[in-house]
Amino acid sequence: MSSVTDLPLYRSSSFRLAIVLTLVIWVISAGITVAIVTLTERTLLDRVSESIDAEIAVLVDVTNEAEIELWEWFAEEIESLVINTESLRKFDPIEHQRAYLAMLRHLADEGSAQERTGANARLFLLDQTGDIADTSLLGEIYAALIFEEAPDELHDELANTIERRLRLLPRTQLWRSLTPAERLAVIVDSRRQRPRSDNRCFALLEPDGDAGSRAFVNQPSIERNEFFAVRIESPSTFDRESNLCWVRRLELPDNRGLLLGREETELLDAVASIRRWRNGAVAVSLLIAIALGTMLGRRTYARLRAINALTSEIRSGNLERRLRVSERRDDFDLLSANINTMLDQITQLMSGVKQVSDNIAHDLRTPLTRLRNRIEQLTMTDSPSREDIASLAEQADSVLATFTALLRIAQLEQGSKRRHFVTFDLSTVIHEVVDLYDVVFAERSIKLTASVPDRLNVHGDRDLWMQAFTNLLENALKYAPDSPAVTIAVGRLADTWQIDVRDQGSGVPEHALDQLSERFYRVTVDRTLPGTGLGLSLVAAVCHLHDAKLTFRNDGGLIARILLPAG
Amino acid sequence: MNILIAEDDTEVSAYVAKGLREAGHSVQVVDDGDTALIEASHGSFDVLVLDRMLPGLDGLSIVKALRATGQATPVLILSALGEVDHRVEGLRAGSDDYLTKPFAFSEVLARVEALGRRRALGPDTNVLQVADLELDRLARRAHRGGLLIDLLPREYALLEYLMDHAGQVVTRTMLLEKLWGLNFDPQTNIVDVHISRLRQKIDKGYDKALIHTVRGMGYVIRH
Repeated sequence: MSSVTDLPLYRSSSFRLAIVLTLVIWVISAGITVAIVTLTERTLLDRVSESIDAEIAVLVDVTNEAEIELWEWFAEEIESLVINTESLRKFDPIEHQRAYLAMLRHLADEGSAQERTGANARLFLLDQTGDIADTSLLGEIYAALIFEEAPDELHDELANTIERRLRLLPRTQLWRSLTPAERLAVIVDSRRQRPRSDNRCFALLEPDGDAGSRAFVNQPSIERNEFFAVRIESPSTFDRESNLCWVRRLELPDNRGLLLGREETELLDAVASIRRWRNGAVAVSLLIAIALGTMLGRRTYARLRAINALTSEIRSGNLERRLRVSERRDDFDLLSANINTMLDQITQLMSGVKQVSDNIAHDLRTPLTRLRNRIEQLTMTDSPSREDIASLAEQADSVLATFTALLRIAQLEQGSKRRHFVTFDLSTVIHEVVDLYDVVFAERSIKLTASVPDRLNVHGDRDLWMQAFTNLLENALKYAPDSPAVTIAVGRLADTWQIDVRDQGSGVPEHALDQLSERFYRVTVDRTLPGTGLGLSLVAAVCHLHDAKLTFRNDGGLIARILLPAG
Repeated sequence: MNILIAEDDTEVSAYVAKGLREAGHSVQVVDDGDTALIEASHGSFDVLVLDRMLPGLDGLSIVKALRATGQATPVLILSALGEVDHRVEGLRAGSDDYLTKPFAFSEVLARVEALGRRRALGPDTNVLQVADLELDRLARRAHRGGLLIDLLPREYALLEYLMDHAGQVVTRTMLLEKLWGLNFDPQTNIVDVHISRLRQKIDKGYDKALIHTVRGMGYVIRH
């Protein structure tokens, strides 16, 4: 048997279990927390992203429309020019414009060299072609050409229009050369110049990543679906507040980048701080989980350790020690109580074994010694008689009977027979025993009667009760030979059967009543009576095995009373 | 009869073998379970006497093996394990009788002969007869010399058992155990009392007593 050494904390299974359990709980709860936070964050950010995307789509539409707008603006001016002309009042302005342009194009393609130049100049001025070498010089010439064709009263207004048109020319030219994305950038740029009326964020990034005067800092920790957070510093010295924007980057053809988005300082600050809190909470809860697990594990460990310490002390010989059972009545208390009960039982068994060995020492040694002496005597006799040898065998048999009875009682006291208990009718057992013995009693003029209910259901071992009643009757035969009658009477007391075996002999002295069922106890010192002195001990052992109580009393003879729980 | 004894305690086996030989039987002794099973499988024995705890195969395993192969040779188990539970175990394994150590030789002899004879008798007959004593099992009645003998149920059962083993010694223990289900020895000689009651009814008034006492062994009913 290996000796119990003190177990280090880390090898204690209860400690490990506690740690593992709290960690598992931590992982699950941290996972749920992170998932909820992430999901919330995504929902919030995605909503902003969606609305930004919608705005960008509108912006793109706007830029696509910008060219049309420009033409319309120009046409409007032409139209107002035409409407103001009395002679052209009857004309549909659009139709007029179309007819006029068709004529100019025809001349530009098919006319003489002079006509072609003129037509081209007109087309240019009407923004229908861009093929002019020197705009500043030609402007005067072409203006004069148009003046010639127009009625006199239109001259002033045409002059004004053309002058404005020419002034705008460089920008128009530039606009035309731009791709839609570049136009978008231009619009963005022009809006940026205006005071901030809404919470839009724009930034044009040079290919080298420089944002010009506008300092911005990436917040790479927050990003989702091509959107990301950017901190844009206001260029104004008076307005030092920094804004967090939720933006996306559009690539421009010249390697420049365009950040488009919306200022969401509050939301992004909130997201950032939720993230910080989340990380903090996960870390702190890990610490708490480990601390809690250690605490719980140590508690269990300590209690088990106490039990281990005590059991090893008990094992080292101090059988009197008992485990402490607290008021809590928890499983450890149950374990302790069970161990205590087990120890009680072991102590009882040990004292039983000790008693048996004492009995063997005392009560078997005497007859064995006698037997040995008889054998020794016979060895000195020349021719021992058959009777002498038969008497030796008889003595040996009686020693064996005592030995068997002792073993039997010891075995009953172990209680292992309870495993084979069945429910049966005890009345049949009593009747059988009475039936067997009534002839024996009748021979000695003793009337043996039994008054037993028809059914006497009992949970137990039939053979053992058979032996118990046999022994009780044998006892009556032996110690009350002059009794006129012996009765077995069974009555019911609440949930208990009261079974009395009553003789009408001289009874036993009061002081001996309690000792009757002790092993080898005999009221008289008369050793000539046959028997092992174990008959009633065996009855007591059978009763004990069945949770029954065996008592003796004097009442006009000896009454052996068994109180047996009704099965 | 041809008897096989399997017992590793040579003193016990020599003592039993000697007694059985003196009683006119032929005996073979083996001292381990494996040899016992091989010998027993040949099937030339009338009774097997097996110790429960043997080197190699134990007694109960031998019985189980034999019964599994359809061998019905009667088996008497000898064992130091004498509790009722052990007995029940032994009988369930297929043995025919169970005797607890220490035992008297007369007990072994009586039981071995009872086992061997039971086999020779074959199926139970309805009418048993010893001299002029007749027992009708169907009517549960006994007549001697044509006169009805009035028997109490217990007396009838005792007589039936004796007549079933007519000519064979029946020990007190056998009667207690097999007839009355007492697996222990009561101190009073209840067997003797019951026998003497039976004698009063069977033998009293007849010239020839049928129930005989065999000193140191038990009783026998015979001519």
